[in-house]
Amino acid sequence: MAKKETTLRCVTVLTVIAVICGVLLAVLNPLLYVPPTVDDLANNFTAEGEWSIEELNADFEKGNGGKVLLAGKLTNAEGVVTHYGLTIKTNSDAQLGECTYALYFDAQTDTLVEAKYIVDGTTGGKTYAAYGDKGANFEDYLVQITSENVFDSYTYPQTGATKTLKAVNNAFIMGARYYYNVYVAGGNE
Amino acid sequence: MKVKAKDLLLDGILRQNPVLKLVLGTCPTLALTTAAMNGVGMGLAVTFVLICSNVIISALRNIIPSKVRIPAYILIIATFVTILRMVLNKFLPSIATALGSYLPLIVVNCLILGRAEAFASKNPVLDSAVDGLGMGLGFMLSLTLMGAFREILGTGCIFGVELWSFKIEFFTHQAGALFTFAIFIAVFVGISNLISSMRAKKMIKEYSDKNNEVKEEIA
Amino acid sequence: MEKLLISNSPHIRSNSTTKRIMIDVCIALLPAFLMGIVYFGPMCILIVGLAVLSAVLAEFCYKLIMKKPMRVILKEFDYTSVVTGLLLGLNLHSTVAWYLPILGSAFAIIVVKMIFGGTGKNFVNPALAGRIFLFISFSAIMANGWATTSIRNIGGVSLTTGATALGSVLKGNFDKIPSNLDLFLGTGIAGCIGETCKAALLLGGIYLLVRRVIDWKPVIYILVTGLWTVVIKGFDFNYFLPSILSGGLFLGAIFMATDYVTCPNTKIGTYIYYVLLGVITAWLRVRTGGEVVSFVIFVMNLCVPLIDRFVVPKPFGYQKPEKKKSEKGGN
Repeated sequence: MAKKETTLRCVTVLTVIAVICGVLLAVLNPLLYVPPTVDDLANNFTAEGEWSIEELNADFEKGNGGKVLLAGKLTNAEGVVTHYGLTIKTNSDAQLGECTYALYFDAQTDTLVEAKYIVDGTTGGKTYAAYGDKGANFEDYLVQITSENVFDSYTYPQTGATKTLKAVNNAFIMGARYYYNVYVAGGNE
Repeated sequence: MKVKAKDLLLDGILRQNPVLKLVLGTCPTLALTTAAMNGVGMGLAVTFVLICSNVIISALRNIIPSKVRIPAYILIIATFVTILRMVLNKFLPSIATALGSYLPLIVVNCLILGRAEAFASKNPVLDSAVDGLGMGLGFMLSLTLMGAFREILGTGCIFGVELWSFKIEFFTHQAGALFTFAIFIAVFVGISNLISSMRAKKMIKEYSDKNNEVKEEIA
Repeated sequence: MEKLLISNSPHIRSNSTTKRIMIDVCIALLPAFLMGIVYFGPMCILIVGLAVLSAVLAEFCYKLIMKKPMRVILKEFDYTSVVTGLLLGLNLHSTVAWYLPILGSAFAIIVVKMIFGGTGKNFVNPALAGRIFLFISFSAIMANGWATTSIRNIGGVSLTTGATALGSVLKGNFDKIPSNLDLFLGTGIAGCIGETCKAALLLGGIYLLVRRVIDWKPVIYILVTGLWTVVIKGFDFNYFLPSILSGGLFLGAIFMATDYVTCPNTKIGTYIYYVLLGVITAWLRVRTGGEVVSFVIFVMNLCVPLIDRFVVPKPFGYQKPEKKKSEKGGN
């Protein structure tokens, strides 16, 4: 009888502590929330102009897990939108943490022109940067976003069948979907 | 037995220095001592978590059953680390980026869990808070000193201010971290041994003086 | 017989003391040093001199701090620090900054040798550790500004600036590699003070062999490195001689890998040690495209206790037990 009570007590105490902690964090979370800024987009791209926020935390979960933190556009001195930028946070995958990627699209040609990692997934001990330019910086590869599935069967970026790359790939797949749905398909309507 | 607050503080900072004497929390010590500023940031973060978790765990020490104490400690520590992370992200993003993944890893820092297990779970709230403060300050002090040592030799800077252009890159590498750690422990143990031997000599002298006095009195 | 002396073994002592061996090593290094001066100019004297001087000074200072009386220090002085300084100096190239040899020697003697207990207690070759310390610390100075020898090469192929012969060998640019004779004599080749002239190093090695300071086994290291490079490169024997003769292999094999303290105790262990050294050196050279001899010897030095642990020496006078199985089977 006594043993049962202690087990019950253990469970109760743990539950109570967990609930209190959870409530505390739930209360603090909105208070301490930091909205993403265009700095992430502006700092990683060289083109001239001014970035402005298009959409924040787009609830776009159609991809393989993750979130479009911020969608922004780059307006040049003449007031023409030259580029669109997306910061995409992909979900963590097994031993690797979530990563944040910035993708840049040319507004005229609907082409992906550049991709940079902003936050590495480091919990697994590996960084995406460690895979070199291939996975980390999507350079010299111009891909036109002609459909929302353009990256689904894409072999790039990849450096092997690693889980890291799965997370990075997700960023590209999600970026293409978002961009196609919002700017290409949406713009044609 | 009543322990004085001053003794507790001194224990944490010097006599039981968590890094150099207890050799706890070596992971952030080795990884983050590349610059003195990192030491200050990490030290303050750990101090905050340590004080808070020590206080809460000490207050709950009679409620938490010993069977599930470790999960309970982890829950409490993790909550404070998460709060700290959110606060740093909001108000001091530069420090948050500098500490990187070592900030969330404070949860499993053996220093905090070790103090919770060894001290807070057996002592009253106030003592635990002072112990947390002392240990945290000791951690910060040793990390900052090691960081300064490595920063000066490795990059020729101190707190980011350039002193000279001469640099020995060895100290910015991991091997340099281990080397610095070893030297600091050696110097610390050397000094503390010296002090204790001096104290022992003094005590012996006092004792023999007393003995002589007694002898003289008898004579 | 009024006095009966009781003492521990050994009772018979040979002349082969540490001091004498070390002086022999110094003598063996002299030809390479002289060739270095001939090739790279009088700056070499300064660099090597500074290295030796600071090594000796570091040892004296450490012992003085440890409160040893001067008389004991002088009596204990066994020229090991001179050898360390000399080796370290010869491992630097002639245009390094003046403080490099001082720092390297101080690190080698104080950290690697004295802290671990002095002569015979160092866990890796001190000169090697000093060189690696410098290599990591001052990578810009250590990796650039290699001077090419003042004497033109005989073969006619001159090196482009900044390129080391080994780099060209590993890339397979055979038209850019100086002739084997040039590599052997060190004429027209960029390199450290003591490593370019293989002939002088070989001379020193033969002297040590004659004086029985070292045995022939380092040859295994040199040969295995060459052969394994050939194997990796698809049995192309054009690689054999250039890969042996370029880089610091001779200096490493003859003077550094042979350090008594950091060699295995057993015969079989020594064979394993040298073969592994050669294989890893060749493999890493091809993989990294640079000189790795010092790093490989460093790592293998650390593996020596492991080798000693697994290779059990045969006790003196041990005889294999006769096989009794066949007798039983006969019955």
